Amino acid sequence: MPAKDGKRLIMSLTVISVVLGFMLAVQYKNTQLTNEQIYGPKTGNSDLRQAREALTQVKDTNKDLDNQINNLKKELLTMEQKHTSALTDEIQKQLSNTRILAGTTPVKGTGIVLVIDDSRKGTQQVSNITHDTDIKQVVNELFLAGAEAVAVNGQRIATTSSVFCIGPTVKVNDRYMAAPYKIEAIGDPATLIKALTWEGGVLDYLRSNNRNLTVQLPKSVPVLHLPAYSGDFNKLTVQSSH
Amino acid sequence: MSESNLNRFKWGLFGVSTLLGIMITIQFTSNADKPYISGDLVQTRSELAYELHAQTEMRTEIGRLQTKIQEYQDSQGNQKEVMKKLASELNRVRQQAGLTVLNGEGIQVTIKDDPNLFISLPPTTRQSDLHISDTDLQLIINILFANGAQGISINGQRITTVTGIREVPPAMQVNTVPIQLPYVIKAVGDVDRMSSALTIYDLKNVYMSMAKDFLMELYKSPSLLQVPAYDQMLDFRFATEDTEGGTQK
Repeated sequence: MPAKDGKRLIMSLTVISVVLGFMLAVQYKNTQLTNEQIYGPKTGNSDLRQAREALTQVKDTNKDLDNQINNLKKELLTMEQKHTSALTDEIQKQLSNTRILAGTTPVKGTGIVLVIDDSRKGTQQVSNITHDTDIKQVVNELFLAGAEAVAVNGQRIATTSSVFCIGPTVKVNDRYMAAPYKIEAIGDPATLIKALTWEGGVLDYLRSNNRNLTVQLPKSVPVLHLPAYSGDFNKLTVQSSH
Repeated sequence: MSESNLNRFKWGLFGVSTLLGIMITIQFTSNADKPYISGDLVQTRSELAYELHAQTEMRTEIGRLQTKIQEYQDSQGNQKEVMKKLASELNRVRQQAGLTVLNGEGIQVTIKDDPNLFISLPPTTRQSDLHISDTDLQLIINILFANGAQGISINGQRITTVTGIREVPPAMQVNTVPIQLPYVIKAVGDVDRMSSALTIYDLKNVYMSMAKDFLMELYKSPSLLQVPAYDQMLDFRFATEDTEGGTQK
């Protein structure tokens, strides 16, 4: 190859490389810009990682505190029972019933457990995700069927409990949780199961073609242990008795 | 350029191009960590804030329980003292359970038929479009409790932990007591949060499309709202208080 042709080849390659580099850079920037337009400005994965690490730590601590509260409540209850005499039997009984109603005491008893999860079929459309209304409907159905205590993923349903969707998660008692949702209920297992599984009932709807949620049918459990509600009843200030 | 130089040049170019390809690939893959969504950060921080708030509440509760245990230990054998403590605890839990009348700032929502709105509806409107279902009422209750309500009643029926709302045509049942329009929902709690939440859900317009008035009245101090107490018998046959040791899963 003559030297002139060689130089021309080098020049062409240089120009092509520069153009290629330029095109790659423009493409990359455009992709970044599009992502920002769709998902919002990129503030750095490290912020997210840090926030998630902090959240995991706080959640672990809270789990321990939850257990501590339950154990203290059990200890207190044992003490109350130990100090109870014929004189205080009636008040003790009232107290027990009231605490069960309020949800402020750990309880045990026969009941059922079921699990609701997002759809595993097809794409994750809005209708294929478990929503607050789904859980609320199941909980409502359980209480209507005579459930005496209900917990969702370990969060006891109490007087002021709400179940709310926040993005892809659900908030129960101001605590975030993600699918699958384990719902435990203490009550007559046969009645509770019947209330949920009747044809055209709430579980049929959740499993229907419209929703396709994954539902593990309710199972009877001889002894369920449910934790106490540990929230603040929406900052309810208790008035002293007169 | 001699033949051998040309070959060396071609091989060199091939090598450099391959290296460039590898570098570009590495560059792209290292930036494509995981699709990053700024909403993830907001969601995580919001969850963190709620968990931290819960932690504060739990620490307070632990302190309260420890004090109570200590008090019981101190009053061993003193029946009068034990009786006093049980009575005080019963008073506290009765309020939390909804067994006492609750007075305070709050919001009253009245839902009632409005014949004028009915006239203005399009002729294609079906009767079923005007119907309020149990899930509609559940939604309002859920919104209010999620936004600071401490006690709620519907047509005089206090909402408790075990309250179910069910439509048994032609009536609605709350605590198995039949109620009907107009629905009067009273909620004592954080007035601003509750009224904002109902406004955000645009419930006034939702009910307008059902030919219903959705009236909100705010009660702020010194004007107070009263929510009645739950008045049904308590009879728990399956649940008992759990004193067995061990931690919750």
